[in-house]
Amino acid sequence: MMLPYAWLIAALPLLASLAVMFFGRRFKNGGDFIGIAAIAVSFVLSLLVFGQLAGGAEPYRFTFTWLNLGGVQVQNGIAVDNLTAIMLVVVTLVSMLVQIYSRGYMHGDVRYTRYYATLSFFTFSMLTLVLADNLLLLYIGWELVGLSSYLLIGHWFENPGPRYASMKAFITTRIGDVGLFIGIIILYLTTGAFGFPEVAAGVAAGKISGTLLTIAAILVFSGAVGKSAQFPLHVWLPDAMEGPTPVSALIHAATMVAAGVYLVARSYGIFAGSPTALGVVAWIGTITAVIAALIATLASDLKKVLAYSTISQLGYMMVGLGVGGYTAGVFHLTTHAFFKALLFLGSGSVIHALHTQEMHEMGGLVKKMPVTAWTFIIGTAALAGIPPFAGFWSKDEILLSAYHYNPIIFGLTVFVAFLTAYYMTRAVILTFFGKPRDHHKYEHAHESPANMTGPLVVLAILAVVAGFPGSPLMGNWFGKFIHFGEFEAEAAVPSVMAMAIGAALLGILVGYVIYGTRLVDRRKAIAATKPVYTFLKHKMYFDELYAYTVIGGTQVLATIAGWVDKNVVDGIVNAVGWLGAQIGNISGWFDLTAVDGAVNGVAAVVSGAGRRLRKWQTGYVQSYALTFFATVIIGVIIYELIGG
Amino acid sequence: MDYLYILPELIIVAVALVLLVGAALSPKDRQGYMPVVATAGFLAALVAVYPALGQETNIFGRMITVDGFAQFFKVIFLIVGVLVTLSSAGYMSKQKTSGGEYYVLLMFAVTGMIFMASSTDLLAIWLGLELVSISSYILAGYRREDPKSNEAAIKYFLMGAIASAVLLFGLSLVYGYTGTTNLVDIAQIETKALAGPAVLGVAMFMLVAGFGFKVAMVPFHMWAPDAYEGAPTPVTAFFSIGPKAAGLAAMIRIFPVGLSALTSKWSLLFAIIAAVTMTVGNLTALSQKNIKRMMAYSSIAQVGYITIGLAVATAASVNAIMFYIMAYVFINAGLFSMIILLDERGIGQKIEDYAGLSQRAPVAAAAMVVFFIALIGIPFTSGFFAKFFIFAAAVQSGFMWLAIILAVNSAISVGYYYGVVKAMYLDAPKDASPVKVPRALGAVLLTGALATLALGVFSEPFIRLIGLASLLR
Amino acid sequence: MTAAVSQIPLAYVLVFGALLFGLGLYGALLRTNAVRILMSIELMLNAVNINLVAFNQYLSPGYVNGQIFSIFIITVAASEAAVGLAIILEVVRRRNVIDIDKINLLKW
Repeated sequence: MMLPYAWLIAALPLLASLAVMFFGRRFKNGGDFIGIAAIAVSFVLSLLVFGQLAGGAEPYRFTFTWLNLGGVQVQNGIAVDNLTAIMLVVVTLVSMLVQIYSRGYMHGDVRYTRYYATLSFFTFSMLTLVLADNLLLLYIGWELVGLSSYLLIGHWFENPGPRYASMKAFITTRIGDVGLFIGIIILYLTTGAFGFPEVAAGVAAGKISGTLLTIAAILVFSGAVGKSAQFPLHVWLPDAMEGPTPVSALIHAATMVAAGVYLVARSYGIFAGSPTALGVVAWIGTITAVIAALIATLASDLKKVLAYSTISQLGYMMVGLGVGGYTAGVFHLTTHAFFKALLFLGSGSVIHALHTQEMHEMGGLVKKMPVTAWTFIIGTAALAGIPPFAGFWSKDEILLSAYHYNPIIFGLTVFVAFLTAYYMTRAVILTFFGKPRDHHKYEHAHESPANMTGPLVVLAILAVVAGFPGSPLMGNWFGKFIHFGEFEAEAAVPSVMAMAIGAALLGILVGYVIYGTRLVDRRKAIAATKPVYTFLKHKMYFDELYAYTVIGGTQVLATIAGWVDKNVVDGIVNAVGWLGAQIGNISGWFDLTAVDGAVNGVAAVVSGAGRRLRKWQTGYVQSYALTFFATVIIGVIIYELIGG
Repeated sequence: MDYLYILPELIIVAVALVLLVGAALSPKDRQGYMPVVATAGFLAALVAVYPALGQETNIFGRMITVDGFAQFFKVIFLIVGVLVTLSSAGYMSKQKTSGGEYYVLLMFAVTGMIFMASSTDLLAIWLGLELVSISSYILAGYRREDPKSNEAAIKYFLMGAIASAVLLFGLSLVYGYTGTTNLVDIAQIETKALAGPAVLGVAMFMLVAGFGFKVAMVPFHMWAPDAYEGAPTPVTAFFSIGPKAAGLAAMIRIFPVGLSALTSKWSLLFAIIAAVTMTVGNLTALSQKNIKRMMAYSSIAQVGYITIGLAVATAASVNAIMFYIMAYVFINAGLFSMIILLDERGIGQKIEDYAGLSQRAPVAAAAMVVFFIALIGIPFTSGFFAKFFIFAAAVQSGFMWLAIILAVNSAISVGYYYGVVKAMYLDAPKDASPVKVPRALGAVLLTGALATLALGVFSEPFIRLIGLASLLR
Repeated sequence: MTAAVSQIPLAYVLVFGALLFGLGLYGALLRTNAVRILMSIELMLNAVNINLVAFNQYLSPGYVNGQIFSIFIITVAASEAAVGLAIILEVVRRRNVIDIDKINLLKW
């Protein structure tokens, strides 16, 4: 039995990370082989685990008491079931390929060793997240991947761009994490457990239900919104492209951003109890998919096109989960991981050759970089949803689920399928076909070394075949392997499939007509759609909106705080001061009558009161003392009146 | 022999007296040995705690008690002594004033703190409090040539003396109504006998005000920001952890244990104070520009969180307070070691002076981030469990509203801590030269960071320890 | 218990103590001269002493707890005053002011 040793899959990258960190510099290649060897072993172990579960082994779970708080015991542990096994294979495989690829891409980098150590650490964190059998350990992994992501986006921290982007990513996702954490606490307080099966059982038993359950589920989802870059927290992902491209491929396309989808899938038992929460998931997913796809159609930076595409596809997965297509969502996660990693690594290969990310400086590269170009085109076909590539099968399943759920969501997702095909066609044509637009860069372009093209080819093969397990061709094997509740095969609806294919082909056609031929004058088209163009070109002004609202919000908060300070606090101090001044007045009056007579008494009292009044401003120790006493005296009076 | 049980205290006082003579005899530039001797004294006292561990008895005519609670705080306070001494050495050696008396006063203050936590008699608790206070007044004004330091001292002294008088008046009323100053005897008086007289209400308010002053609960906190800002920075570090922890320990002895018959009376009072203290502390901290003043409000907010534990007053909440204090001591000691360093190097006390620290001292900046994360209460730092236990205790006892205010405040606090992190990591430094961290400060920084992380991950043994030391069962 | 003491009700003594405390409080809050404030605080402490001694004498004449408490208070008050005067002296030397309403460098 392999399953009890599943923890090794996560432990090996951790050991590798430490080894690289401490001893990496002693080796010629910065210790990169340590990381690669460890992840290779992890990958093999993952395959064994996957094989056993596919062969019908029982899921495995190991728990131990982590905290013992006087009667309340907090359990911790790992679980390996079918969903975990799929994720393990995806994460270790993509990590391994990215690590191999990075040998070429990051060659000669100033912090090569640190890069490898962090990459291994990320893999460890992600695997911890996947292996967790409870919300608490998942949250640990969740924060650790966030930390690794922060470190890797900011890898080139000398430049302000990456430094700012890493901060932005960290802060933005943290907003969602706060919600997730509160959600976890609510679930713990109501169901008394952190473990996924226990929490789900608690939900099923009605320990938490109704509005509170919906709130808890939406709070948990808010964590996913941050991590998976869903609307309205999607703004960090495009900026995260400042990081090294292999990092984008691993973290910001295949694994970490999918953690949000995984979270929803993993805690589906919570969502299943609240149709409202699932509706929120579905609609947020739809909105995200549409918005991101629209922005992607005008992005000029190759990596940003892919980033918005990732956001859009993550929205797709959320739609799948939200509309009840549990299998479809997870399936799309799997296939997307392969072809999107492929696209990112392909773009990395281009960037490596040209030292630019602007598509307007590319063009005609298919002749210079055939392997990169053709694997990229395969990835595009998979993403666009052309049969029989992987993306077609998973996208089709999501569309099918949406079709049964709500016609508007269905219509919008088909529209996104069209947009996806369109912007990817545009990207391919601008990058690889047509005439080179920057001849100097074109002359220097060359195909990447074998340790970069190798992973591309492997991923390209997966982009072709990874869809078959979920297709009717293999009898919906994936659906039998991963399902929520009882497995029931959904009958294929031919019209849905036809619409999916039609939308994809139409998108490709439109993209080809606009960018591949001279039939449309693009300048005129831009001029004709000026407002829309500007709106999309500025990424729908989300950054501006946030900058404005956050800054504005801070100012409002500061104003409120200032107001409270000025009116309430000062008011109290002044009132107290007035009281003291009155006492002073009376006593002063006695003083004056006794000593000086009452001649200029009134005037003295008034000016004395004014003088005293000023004293109650902050900075004077006696105003502090007066507040002190006033509180005691007022407190005692209230206390006695209430009847202590 | 009763004296064996107070061996740690005796050691500290003896070392302090030796240092006092030493300070008089050796010239200013030959006083480098003083922090070493003081540290050795604290460490020797720590060792001397060991024989009494696990014992329970009363000594000196039931004035002092030996129990797990007392031992727990004794160890915490001695660690505070070590950390503050190590943080102070570099700073004090650069002052014009001779450094000798500084360590002496620090040791006296720690002794007072220990007595506050290990007395079950109101008289002895008050004596401990005065020992801490009088030493603190002098410490606050230790930079005699600095008008701000003078001002901090005189403000702290005047407020402290008034607060002390109020506290004593309250104590005299308690004595009048119960005929004893011993908390164990007071606890045994029946509920009805205590609950009647209205004057006890007055007494209770005066006790809350007196101790609330010491630990800086709103609205008895107003001295704190001024004293923190004006005092020499190592003294600020000490103020933010030592006297506070001692005051809270004494409050646990007095309220949930001694005056448990009156729980219904003071519980709501503490709940209101907790809510106000958290909110005022955090909101005011938002607009601070001086990091010492910001940390003053931050520590006021932290006391607000802890006060929830007093309001709830169950075994779980008292344990939560103990965990909170343990976590907080390491966080603040570590954080202040950097504030001390930057002040000592003349870099400054303003938040803007922290610009680009991530490039000038990367490890130290990272450690500071850990401390801020812990102060906010983000998981896998000690601060998380500290807040979580308080939160859980409040929810279990039906103080849901307090728990919600805690969560909201925790979110607000991100605002000002982030300001410092932003300065350290995103702003460009005016002067990019590296800041070298001296060994003693580095040790404090590292101890603090490691303890913060360790308590956040392997908290179980410490929770069990606190369970053993708990006063309430 | 002497005859003279027994003829004065406890309440009178307590009211006297409270008045003394209030007098001290008044001075501490409204006088600006730091030394006068210090003297006012001493008044407050003496009010406490009166309370303690009275309670001891009237309620538990066989014991001396309250009296011992008051002796401690007298002792501590003396050392507190010594420290306080030293601090005030230092402020006067540096700034040449003794009115605490002129000491507000630290605020807000």
